[in-house]
Amino acid sequence: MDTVYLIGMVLSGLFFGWTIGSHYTGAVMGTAFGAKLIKPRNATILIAIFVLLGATLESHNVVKTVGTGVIEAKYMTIFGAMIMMLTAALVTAANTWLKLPVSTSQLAIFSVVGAAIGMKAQVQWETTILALAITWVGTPIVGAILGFILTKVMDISALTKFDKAKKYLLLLVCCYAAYTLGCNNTGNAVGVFFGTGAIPSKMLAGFIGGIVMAIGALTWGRPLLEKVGLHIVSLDINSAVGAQLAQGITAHIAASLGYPTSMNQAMIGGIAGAGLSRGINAINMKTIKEIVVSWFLTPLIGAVVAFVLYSVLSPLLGVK
Amino acid sequence: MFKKILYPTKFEEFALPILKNLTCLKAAGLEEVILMNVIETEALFIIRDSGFPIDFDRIRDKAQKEINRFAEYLETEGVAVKTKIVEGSLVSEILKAANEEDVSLIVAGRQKRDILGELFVGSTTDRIIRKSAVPVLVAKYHVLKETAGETTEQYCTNMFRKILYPTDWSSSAERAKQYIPTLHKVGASEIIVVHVLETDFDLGIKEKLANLEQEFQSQGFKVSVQLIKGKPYAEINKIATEEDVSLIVMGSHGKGFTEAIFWGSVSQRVVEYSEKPVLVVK
Repeated sequence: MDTVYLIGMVLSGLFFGWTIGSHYTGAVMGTAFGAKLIKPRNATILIAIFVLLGATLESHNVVKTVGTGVIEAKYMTIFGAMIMMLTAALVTAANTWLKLPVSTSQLAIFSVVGAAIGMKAQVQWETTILALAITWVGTPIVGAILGFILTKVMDISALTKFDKAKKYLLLLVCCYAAYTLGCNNTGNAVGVFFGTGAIPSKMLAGFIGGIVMAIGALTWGRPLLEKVGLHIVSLDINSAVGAQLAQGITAHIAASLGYPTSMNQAMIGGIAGAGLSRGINAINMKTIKEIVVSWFLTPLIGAVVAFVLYSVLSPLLGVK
Repeated sequence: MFKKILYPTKFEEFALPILKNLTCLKAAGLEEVILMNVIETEALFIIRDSGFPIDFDRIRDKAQKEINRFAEYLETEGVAVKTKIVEGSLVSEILKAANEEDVSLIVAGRQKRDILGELFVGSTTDRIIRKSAVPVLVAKYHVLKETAGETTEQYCTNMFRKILYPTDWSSSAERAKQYIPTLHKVGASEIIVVHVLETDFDLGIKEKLANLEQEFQSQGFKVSVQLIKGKPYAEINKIATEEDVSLIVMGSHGKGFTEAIFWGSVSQRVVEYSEKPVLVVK
């Protein structure tokens, strides 16, 4: 039976990775596409390349946290890991209709937590989860501070005089954001592959995750990117660079520390900071409410679904 | 009966042709059309999820331009127009507007074709019919007219030309009947009355059908009557296609026990699978 669970785990994880790849094209390349600097096809190709790079080179810390940081590796069974990834995949798929503010990273972590509670495995609340909680709350704040500073820097820098250079810079910054997407989010999909020992190398796990995310961006990323690019409030180039770079740096820091965070909430922070640097109060109460709702809602959904799935399926399938 | 129409639109390819068809309802008392576009905030979820602020002004401006184009056409036709652009959930906003504006008809119909060329009406239409207090005209268009090897799509030209009236003499079928004389005024000249038997033959039915035939003849229609056995929705759609009717007029509720609970599954399926427009009367 373990082979079946292994296949279930891998397929669910890869599906989850694929949805991440397709879902975040707007978040990392939306500003460049909105400013008409790049065609959607080329944008998705760039995203695919940089996501794969980030996933292969710098996702190892997140892979480690998801795979062995929430619960110790000794508790990580193949069946449990299958439930975790199944939860992440199911919730993501269901959310296509439910449209709840759910963060991918928080979902991945709390799918692990929910299954762990079902397995009666010890969750590292005081170390890993606490650090993650601080990271999540800090993300939009750090994003806003960086967005503010970076936009100011852009405004006063000599670059202001060279429009073309600024456009290339924005494109570069978007590629960097795609890279950090690879660093930050890949571990969510493939962390348990490493945790169960199914894939012994963190880098290989990251590479595999990067591949499915790249495929996600290439196959299904375009319509989402177009929708985002055509319907967002267009930013001037300086704030676009400031906000997108703030998002990238914030996610990069979190990923380096091994704590996957929400790219979207980093972006919301970055845009608010960019707005503030212009004296515009871009902080929308509704958006803040949604972020806070997401902090509580995602862990709850992830944990409950994983716990219920584990508790129902394990006796049914005779898993101890 | 058609004094005030609510026409919600997403400005699809066939939205204007269908609207053009409706202007002939002037002869049946059409005075005003409420053109409506709903900015579906839920559908913009993916943008919210990317962390960007949504540019409602831009979306609204674009919709306003499109809706003005439609409004101009109606004004040249001498029909009063009111435009509405609202944000929210599609079905509930449509129903709310229908109620507020006290309209006499909602025109709905989202057309989608799969690879086989079959028509599907989105569940949106289904929900509108289910909850609407007024009749709903589900506008569809002929599909896949193979001409000289070319596939073209045509909207219903002259939507009210030839009517199919399926009846089981239920109260909503009777209410649907009341719309038929009005349709005569806008050019309907032919009518096919059909009753589909699901069970054994009933002698009384023939007499009832003969009465209907007489009634419609006296209104000036060329009438034909069909009594068949089979699955109601399948037979109705078959006749509609074979006889190339231009509109199906029917009640939303059938007589059967199950249909009193679940809204008329027959009309629901006719709406879903028919390639002809359907006027569903509550």
